[in-house]
Amino acid sequence: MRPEKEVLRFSRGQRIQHIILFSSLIVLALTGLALRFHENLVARTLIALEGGIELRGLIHRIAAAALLLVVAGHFIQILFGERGHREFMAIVPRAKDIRNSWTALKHNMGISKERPMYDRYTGLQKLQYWAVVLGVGIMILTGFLLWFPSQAMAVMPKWLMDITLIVHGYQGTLVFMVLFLWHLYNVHVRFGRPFFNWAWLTGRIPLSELKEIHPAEYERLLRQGELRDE
Amino acid sequence: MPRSFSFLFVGLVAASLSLLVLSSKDILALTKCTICHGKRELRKIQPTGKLVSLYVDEWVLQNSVHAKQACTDCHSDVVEIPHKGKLVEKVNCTRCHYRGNPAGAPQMVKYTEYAESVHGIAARAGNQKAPVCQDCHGAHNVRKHADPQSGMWRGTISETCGRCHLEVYSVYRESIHGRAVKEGKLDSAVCTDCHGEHSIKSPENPESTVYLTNIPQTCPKCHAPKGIASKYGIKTGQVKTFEDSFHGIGIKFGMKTVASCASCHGVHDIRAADDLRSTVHIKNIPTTCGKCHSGANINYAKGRIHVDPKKKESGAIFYVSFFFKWLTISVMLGLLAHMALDLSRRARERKR
Repeated sequence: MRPEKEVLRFSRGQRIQHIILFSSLIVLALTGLALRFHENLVARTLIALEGGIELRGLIHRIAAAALLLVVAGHFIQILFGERGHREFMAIVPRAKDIRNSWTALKHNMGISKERPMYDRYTGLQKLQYWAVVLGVGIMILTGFLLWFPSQAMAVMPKWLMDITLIVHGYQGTLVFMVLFLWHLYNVHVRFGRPFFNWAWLTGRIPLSELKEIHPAEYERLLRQGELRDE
Repeated sequence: MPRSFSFLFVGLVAASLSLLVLSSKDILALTKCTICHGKRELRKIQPTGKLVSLYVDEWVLQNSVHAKQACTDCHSDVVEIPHKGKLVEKVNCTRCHYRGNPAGAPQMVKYTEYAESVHGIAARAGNQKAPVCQDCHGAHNVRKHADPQSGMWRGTISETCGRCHLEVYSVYRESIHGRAVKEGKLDSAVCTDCHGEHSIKSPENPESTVYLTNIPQTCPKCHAPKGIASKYGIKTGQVKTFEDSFHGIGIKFGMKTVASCASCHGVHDIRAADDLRSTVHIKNIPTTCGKCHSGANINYAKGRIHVDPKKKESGAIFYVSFFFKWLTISVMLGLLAHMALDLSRRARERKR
């Protein structure tokens, strides 16, 4: 079998960013959920594995610092990097995403044969990106307040601090669900071939996948002469 | 426990020895002793210069649990009367109160806990001020603890402890617990409810019921849901809300730098939250929280401390929590629905 032609989708910088992001989020989720569900046996075991309640907190904050760094790097790239800026503009939601999503829904339900004409990012991919931006944003904001309670309470009443804690707990669970259930299912696990999508590691996707999922990008790349059809 | 065993053993030997002595002599009648000790003015000067009354009230003795005992049953070192100034030793209660004693004197395992208590250890080390049995239970006036005349009765036990722990008692007496007892609410906490009875240990001892990390198990003995406190209309949700708070979780997992009940509410001086002198009165919250959280201000008092997000009375906290709960559930359902839809499409495509 002839090896399938592949195209580079994610740069090395993007892949490293993604690895740091999900590593920190996994650590944050493990240490955070252990605290939230502390009555649960699994959570208690996790806390014990994390070296007790105080070390758990330290690990959580170290991971939070790593997350902060990668988020800061991300925004610096968007603001000052040429590629970062281009990628950001490609993921900003646009009116045609709604039309495309409608087509996708009809197609998925088996009503229509027409496929959505997605460019670089599909509606689902954009949704996942922005869900993470919103979710992680809230987590960082509330997390900071909880990290420095004395400073926070210098200006915030107790009840607002209680709300901060509740938001942090629930929002963390939401981010966990969206990423570890949905994103993992949507992006990384494939029921076609191959079973796992290794693009996060190699940065490459098969040309056929580009044609199928990102037809508009494929045509654009052809037009721009960056890609030659075989 | 080898130490308490030897304690019993010594008692056993002493008891059998005294039985030998008593069998050769007539049991000395109470009346014979009261010829001298029935006189109110009978006193002696201790080597320390302290004047001690040697008067024994016959009525007191006859109304005690030991009414049927003769003086020499306890004062076994008195073998002839008058004992002519021969120094009479302090009575050793374990002469009779040991397990399996023939006299049928009560002996429970908890009595032996005394040997390991802060009092027992001090007494064994030779501290003359450390209490032995009769210092709490009374010498001649030993009564059952349910008897209001007993120093061990719930209504008076704190006063009994206060004979030595005067400062603590004077603070406790004015606390919500002390006042309730004075009002006749005998369910209210007395010294022994928190500190234990024979087993009292130093608060610095990790085995103590009032050790920092054990406090959250001690207060709920009454303040847990459906505990004694609820009988008096006192809210009992605080235990659960504490356990779910950062402080509670920290304590549960062995942190020693977090607050337990007593850190905020006080120890002997616990008062109702609306009492101006209470450490948890709104005006005193900044000072109380400030013990640990430097720079604590009035913001610490804005909102409930024992907050339950599941209860409507928590206001905004309840609604935010309610919103997020349903958001989480609907997002979860949405994600599952999407995945199901996606899987069915894939299945259709594969068939084709």
